[in-house]
Amino acid sequence: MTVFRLYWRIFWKNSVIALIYFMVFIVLGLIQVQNYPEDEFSFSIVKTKIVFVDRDNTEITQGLKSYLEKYAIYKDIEEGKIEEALFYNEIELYVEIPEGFTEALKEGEILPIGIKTGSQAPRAHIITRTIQKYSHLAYVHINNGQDSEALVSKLRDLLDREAVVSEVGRAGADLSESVYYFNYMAYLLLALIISVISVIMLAFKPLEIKRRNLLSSISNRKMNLILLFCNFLLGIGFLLALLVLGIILYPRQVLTGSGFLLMLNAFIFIFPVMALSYLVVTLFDSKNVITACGVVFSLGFSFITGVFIPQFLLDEKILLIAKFIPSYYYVANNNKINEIANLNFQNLRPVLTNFLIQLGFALLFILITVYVAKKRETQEN
Amino acid sequence: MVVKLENVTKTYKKGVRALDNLSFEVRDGEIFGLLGPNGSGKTTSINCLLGLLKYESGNIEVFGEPMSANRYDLKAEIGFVPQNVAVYTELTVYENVDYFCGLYVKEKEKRRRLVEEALNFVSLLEYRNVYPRKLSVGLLRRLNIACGIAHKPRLIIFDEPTVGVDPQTRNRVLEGIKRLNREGATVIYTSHYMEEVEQICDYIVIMDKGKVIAHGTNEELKASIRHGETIEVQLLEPKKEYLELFGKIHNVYSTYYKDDILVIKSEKGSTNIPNVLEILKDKGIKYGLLFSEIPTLNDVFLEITGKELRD
Repeated sequence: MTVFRLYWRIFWKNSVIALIYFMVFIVLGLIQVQNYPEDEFSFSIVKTKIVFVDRDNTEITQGLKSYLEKYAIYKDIEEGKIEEALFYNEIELYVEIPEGFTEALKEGEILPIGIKTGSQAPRAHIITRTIQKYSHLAYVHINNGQDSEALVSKLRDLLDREAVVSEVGRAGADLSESVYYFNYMAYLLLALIISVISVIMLAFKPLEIKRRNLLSSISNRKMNLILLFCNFLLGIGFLLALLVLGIILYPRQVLTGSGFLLMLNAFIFIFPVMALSYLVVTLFDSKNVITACGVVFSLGFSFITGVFIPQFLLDEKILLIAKFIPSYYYVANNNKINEIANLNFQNLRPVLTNFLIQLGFALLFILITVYVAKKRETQEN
Repeated sequence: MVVKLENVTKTYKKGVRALDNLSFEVRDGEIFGLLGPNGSGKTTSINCLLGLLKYESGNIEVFGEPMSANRYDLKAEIGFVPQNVAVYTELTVYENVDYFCGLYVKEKEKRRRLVEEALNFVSLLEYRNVYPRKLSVGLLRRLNIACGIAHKPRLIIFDEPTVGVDPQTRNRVLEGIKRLNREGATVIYTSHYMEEVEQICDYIVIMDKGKVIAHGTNEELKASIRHGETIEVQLLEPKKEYLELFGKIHNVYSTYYKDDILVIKSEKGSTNIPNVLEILKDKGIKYGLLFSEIPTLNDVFLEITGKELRD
């Protein structure tokens, strides 16, 4: 109990730092979560500057011009200056409806529409596609005996119709928002555990202190086990605090089977993080260096493993590096859990594999720590 | 016998032999001094004795039992005051002593009493709620001692406890050690300050390069050497010819200048002060100060190794 009490006394003395860290991270976390986008992507229409020359001037061609206003801003430029305007990006597209276009449609022919594009060809592509669609729909409906007046509004309706996609067969809850929170938790756990546990362990590190403890009637092994247990309790404490917050924020998502998997994933993630904090404190003796490590590892790991930016948006080379970091598998697991529609062994297999990889990292860090510690002990001897 | 080291050899990884067949014994109830210059192997021998360092060969016994890293029963009877202050900066003075005492004494009430006694012993009671970083070097040294002695060990090891402290604190530490000894503790005291060892130790081992080069009581060590007296005369007009003049005095075996001070060293026997004064008067040599010094442990070390203890 003496060592146990000492650990918590030292934690208590460092608790202000831990609390500040915690509060700052929580506030940052909440801000991040609040800013979570409703949809993964949102689009806004960027209008294209065009010159529209209608040499036919019928209801059908006027209807086209009117419909294209949705995507285009019409510019008035002299015909002789069109090439120049395209070159200098004053306009992105030049459209010329040939004379007799509507008549030709009635006769079963689609006259080619004159189109010239500038350097912003991709944006102009939307307009050209719309023009093509409009021409073909007009062609089909005119040849089916539809009169021009009613046809313009019909074409508008048809072009505005969007495909409706619906998801079927999903049994698990939609965890999108809570996954975002759980991913962000990787950063919090890394920063908190490395900074706080390492600083506490640093108090036990000076050689003279170590020797004074070694000289006591408590065995070195017992002492290390007590410290390990205390670190585990502290790690669990941090995790529980963050989980409780997660439950408060997203009760419907977290208190489900998939939510339980997210929590389990976070629990497993604290093992490599704690092992990493042991490695950091074994490698470095300065409190400032250790605190810096906490910041560098938490931010660095989070940036390249998909905590802040979704993994599918990261460059392949970055992801290749990220695969050497446990938080990559933690984040990948959160995403995977969110994707799983039905919780069965087959679907859970990749999740379980990622659990094992995370525990493998913990083992690797412990082995490196033991090696470094042994080497240091030999040097001290 | 409280401690027995027998032919202990310890070589560090870089091939430095720190202890070379080191042997000595510490008797119950004595203050045992381990004297030697920096790097002579004092701290290494203490660390081997405490089971903190492994050694290649030899035997170490504590309280008649073989000592090793896992002899927690023996460790419980030992108090250790390391060379550098080893306390937790996150704990107050009281909490530090309580923690280190708690490693040996589980019973809360008994521990509280022992901690109070230890703090009282080093006069730190009024600083009980102060954090170490707010203590002066002298107060930190006293805290370091309190942490090592609070559990009332039978054997207390002080490893250069007065390095970097002011004379007042030094005297206080030395007085404290004598008090602990009077109260029944056997003390091993390592230092490179010969005056301290002379002042408090009953038995002295002088070490150099990991070996015992001399041992005995203060008097025995001084009696074992040829040197008997050092007379130093501060001359107003030092001349080279005076070296020969004073060198002819009976029993004088060495004369030399230390700046403008003439040093005259005599072998054991009667004092040469009258002879020196007579020559100074007869030859009309002007001088400022004259003083005589009986042999010190530094002379013992100098005569055996050819170098000063402070080198």
